[in-house]
Amino acid sequence: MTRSGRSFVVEEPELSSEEEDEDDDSGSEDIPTNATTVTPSARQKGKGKATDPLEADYSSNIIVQTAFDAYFTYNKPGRVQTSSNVYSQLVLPPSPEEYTEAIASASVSKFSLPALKPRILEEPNRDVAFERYMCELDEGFNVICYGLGSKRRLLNQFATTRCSKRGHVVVTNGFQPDFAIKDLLNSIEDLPGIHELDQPSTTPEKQARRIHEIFLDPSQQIHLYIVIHNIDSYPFRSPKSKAILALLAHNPRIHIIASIDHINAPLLWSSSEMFARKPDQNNSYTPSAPTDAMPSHGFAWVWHDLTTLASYDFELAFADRSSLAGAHTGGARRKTDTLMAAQNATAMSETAAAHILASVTQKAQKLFTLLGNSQLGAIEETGPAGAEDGTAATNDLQQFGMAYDVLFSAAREQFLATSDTALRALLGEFRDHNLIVSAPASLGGGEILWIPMRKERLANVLRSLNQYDFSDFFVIENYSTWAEGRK
Amino acid sequence: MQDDGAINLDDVSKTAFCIPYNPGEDSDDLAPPKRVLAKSLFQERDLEDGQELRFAAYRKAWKKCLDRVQTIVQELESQSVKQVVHEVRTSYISPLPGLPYPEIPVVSVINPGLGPSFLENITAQLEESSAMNSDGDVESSVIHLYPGDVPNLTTGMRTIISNFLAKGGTPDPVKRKPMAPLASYDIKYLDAWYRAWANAQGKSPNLVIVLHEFEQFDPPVMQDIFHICSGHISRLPIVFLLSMTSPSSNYLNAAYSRFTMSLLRVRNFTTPSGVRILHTILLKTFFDPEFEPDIIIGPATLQYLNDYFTRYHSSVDAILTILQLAHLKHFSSDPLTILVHSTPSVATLSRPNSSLFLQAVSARTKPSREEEDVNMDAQSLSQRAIDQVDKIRTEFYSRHRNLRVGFAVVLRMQTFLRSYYYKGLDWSADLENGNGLCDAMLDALRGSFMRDVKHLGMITKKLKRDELRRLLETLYGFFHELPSNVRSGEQEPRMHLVEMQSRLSADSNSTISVASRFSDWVTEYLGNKLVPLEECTLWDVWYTGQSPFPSELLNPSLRASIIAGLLRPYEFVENLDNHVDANSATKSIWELPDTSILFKRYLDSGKMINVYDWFESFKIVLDTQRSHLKDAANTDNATSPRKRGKGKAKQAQHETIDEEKWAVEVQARFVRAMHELDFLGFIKHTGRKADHLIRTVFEIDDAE
Repeated sequence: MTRSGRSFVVEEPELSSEEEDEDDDSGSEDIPTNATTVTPSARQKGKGKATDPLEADYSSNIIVQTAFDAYFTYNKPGRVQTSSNVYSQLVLPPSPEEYTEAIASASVSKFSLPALKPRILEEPNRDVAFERYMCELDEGFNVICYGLGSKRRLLNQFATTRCSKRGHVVVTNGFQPDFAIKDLLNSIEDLPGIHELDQPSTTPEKQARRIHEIFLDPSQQIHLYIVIHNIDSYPFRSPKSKAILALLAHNPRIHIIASIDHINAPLLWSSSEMFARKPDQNNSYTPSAPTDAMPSHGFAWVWHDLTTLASYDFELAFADRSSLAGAHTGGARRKTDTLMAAQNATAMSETAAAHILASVTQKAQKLFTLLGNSQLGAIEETGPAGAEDGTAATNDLQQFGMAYDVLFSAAREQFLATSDTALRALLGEFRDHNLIVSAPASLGGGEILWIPMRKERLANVLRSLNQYDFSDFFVIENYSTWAEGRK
Repeated sequence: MQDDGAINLDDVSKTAFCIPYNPGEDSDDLAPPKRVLAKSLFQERDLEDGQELRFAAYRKAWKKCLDRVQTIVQELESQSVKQVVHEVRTSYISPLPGLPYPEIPVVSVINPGLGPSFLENITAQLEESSAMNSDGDVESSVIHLYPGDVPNLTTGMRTIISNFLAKGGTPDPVKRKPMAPLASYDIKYLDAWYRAWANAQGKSPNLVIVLHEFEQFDPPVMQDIFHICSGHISRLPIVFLLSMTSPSSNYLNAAYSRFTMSLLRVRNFTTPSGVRILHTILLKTFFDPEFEPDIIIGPATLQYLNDYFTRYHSSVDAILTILQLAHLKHFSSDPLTILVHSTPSVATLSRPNSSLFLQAVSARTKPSREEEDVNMDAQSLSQRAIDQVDKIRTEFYSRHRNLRVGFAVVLRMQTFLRSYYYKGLDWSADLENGNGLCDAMLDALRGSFMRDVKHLGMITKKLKRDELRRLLETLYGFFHELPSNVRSGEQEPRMHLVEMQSRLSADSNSTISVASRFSDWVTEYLGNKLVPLEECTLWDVWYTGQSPFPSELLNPSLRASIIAGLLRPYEFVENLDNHVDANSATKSIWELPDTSILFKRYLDSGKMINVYDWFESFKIVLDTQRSHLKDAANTDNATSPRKRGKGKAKQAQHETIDEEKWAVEVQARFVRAMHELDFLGFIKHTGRKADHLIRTVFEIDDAE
């Protein structure tokens, strides 16, 4: 809007959560006034200015702050001032079930805003857009769509209603964490007319080369359309996948329709890659050269804004909703994810624990109680002190674990296991399901065992374990409602 | 989804789905699918099969333009191609005697502009077997490597060897001893294969390895490859052809050690590059008296092309892409562009559903005696329109021809004046560093060229006798060499020039009078020639004029789009028709989607964000939203809004359960919104402070 009409109000980089905390308890009745803590009030000041006569503004604000100024304002040297609240300590992350239920209820609730539907999704506009994409694909470009919102549904529609009328279609979900470029190549080779050919299974590069050659052949009448959801996703970022895609994208009979969501996605390709033109399928670029003389690379992108404002629920279906970084698609983080999951304090839900506990022997249950109580005790002891030095205290449960020999002697005292073999047999089931995890102790050797559950959850599980005999668990269909009723 | 309902694209257990070709019932199995242009904005006045016809017209026009540009590019590169090919072929003919160890011939080609076509050309020529054998040149086997092919030494060597093997083929079914085969990445394997292959063929071709985008190869890996190859030079005639894009010629010296460089015998070649390519292409495509393009690209697009080429990406590919998209846009925007090559037949135009098209054409062609023709029937109306359009087409192209000839004359004069050290006009006709040559072209198209023409006239008045004679000769030569169809229209200037030439040679004192006569004539002549194309009727059929180039197709403002989507989602929703929508500007924060709310708070925060505080601020907005929506629901349901307070007190019991659910819901919505922002790349995670995030975007929210 009127960029010059309002100067940027540089607020102190502080959200003043203390005030908000105080206001929190007073309920949601008089929110409008309540919401005007420091930040929003500054906002309203800005708003007020914008409605002032323009002349006044022009005289006072000759210099208008830009994004660059903001960058330097925010990145000036010095300590960043934020409050010392720690989210993961103050708020219990929702379990997957809670999350799904809450999102479902939020979307159907009568007190929620209706979802926005941009005009490009409406009928005549969408048709025109699809026609344009098709025409550009025919003309030797590859289409890439950007803009806010999930483009999956729309591009799938394009694939099923338009592309499949013109040729084979392969749709890939790049956002899925277990996606590999090989999946794409395999499904291309599964297509009718291609899978009859002799295909010794080899490396992805050779497979790609083979597909490229099949579609380079002028006798190949049926074109291939590849729809790639999130070509900016992690599996596509490696140089290897990029080389494979660049080869396929440059084939005159293979057309790519891709979507990107990351704001820095265009950095994936060099400008010569983005512009490399496909050889014309009718007349080759240089008539003297045979078409396959040089396996050229490149994308020939044409960009389209496809803002759908739709939510990314499907794309993020695999994200760990209980972790702050659950949706982050960074490189190193992804790799350690499986490792993290085992140690993640919230990886084990109460229901899952209840299921496991219901299927083990009484002795094993008692052993679990023993370990759990000792862990709870340990957390309680260090609890308030541990909170001060950040996340390490809560997320790293290993420090509250129990050494193996301590556990063994405790178990022997309570007649749970008389020998080492017996104890290991009891622990086996728990370890298989990651309900109890172990690691070599940092000091003096031996093994540390602990339950990867946060304090509150562990307490809940132990409470129900003490109260009820789990043997009748399977009779009751919904454990949680039943447990609630008994409370 | 009709019959393809079998494929469930929402299945999360699969990452890739196949949808086989399904042409539908109506279309023929073998017929290639119909290719059409997108619907135009003025769809209602299109012909029945207008989209197809326009597509055909587009193909024809674009092919003409494309062929022309490609010919120009080939001319540009032919000299360098010849040199490079010769160098590669002769690299093993005469090695320097007395070297301590053999050097690997390395041909480095700096090719920033011409793109892949240049290397394609070289490859093609190298692989032509019989063409140049007479010079004692050697044949070549060429393979191509891209940076992705050489991630490490083993893979790199394996790729090289397997590519050569695949290219040459194994001469005989070689029996390999099962026990001790050479590793597939061992150069001795290549050596053995090469000997067998060369024996079978009876000649020993060079092995050429083309390394594309050489700057992106990993120097330590390449260093090793060079080292390995140099040990086998005596038996394997390997030539490296490096394609580089950086204009600095000493990349090799900068990136590789002296030790490696001593193994290489480097020859540098540079292709024509930079603004010279652009100027040559534009001049020869749109301002050449000999070539008539079907569509004339207007100044707006040319300006964009010039800017893009000089600022972002100087390559032929960029020029071609921009020209093609301009053609595409031109043909898909107006149904009238059907008329570019030919006019539809009377039968087509007299069809009832063509009437709007016909009306549009007749309205534009506007015959002078309109009133008399009210009673004409459709048949004769369309016949008249066809005649008119045909006439206009001829006229338009002749105007453009005039423009081209006129511009060429100005160019000749300018070059002439410069060569005699006159200042001339304030732009240079030099292709290499032609400052403002592009602007001159734009001026000529815009019709604001008269000042330059007058200026030229003034300068010519002051020419000396000898110079004047030469200028007249040059111009006469120019007119004489025009192709015959253009020359026939230029009889008059030639007569004038001949006459002035003879007067000049007859009388030695006539210089001033001839000069002033020439000056007057040339000003008038150019004035008649350089007429803006917009003055022609129906000009927008053949000329893109000032219509802007759709730059977002190539250079999108991705960030702006996403941020606008977050900050002003309602602007994507509202219809384009009712532009002045007062309430859209004043959406308050609670009316926005969750992700937008969270993003607004993100913009309000400092460099680092405390997740808990972020959550709290989000919660407050959601609470506001809830109470607003409740209010709205209550006023909808009940007649008296006063009741709300009392009702609430009664429902206190209900509320507490609701509040618990609400807390979870807020949290879930927060997590979802935050994950979406993370997915979009707005968040960087850091371990520096507990549960803190770092902002990646420092945009200013100027929406409010």
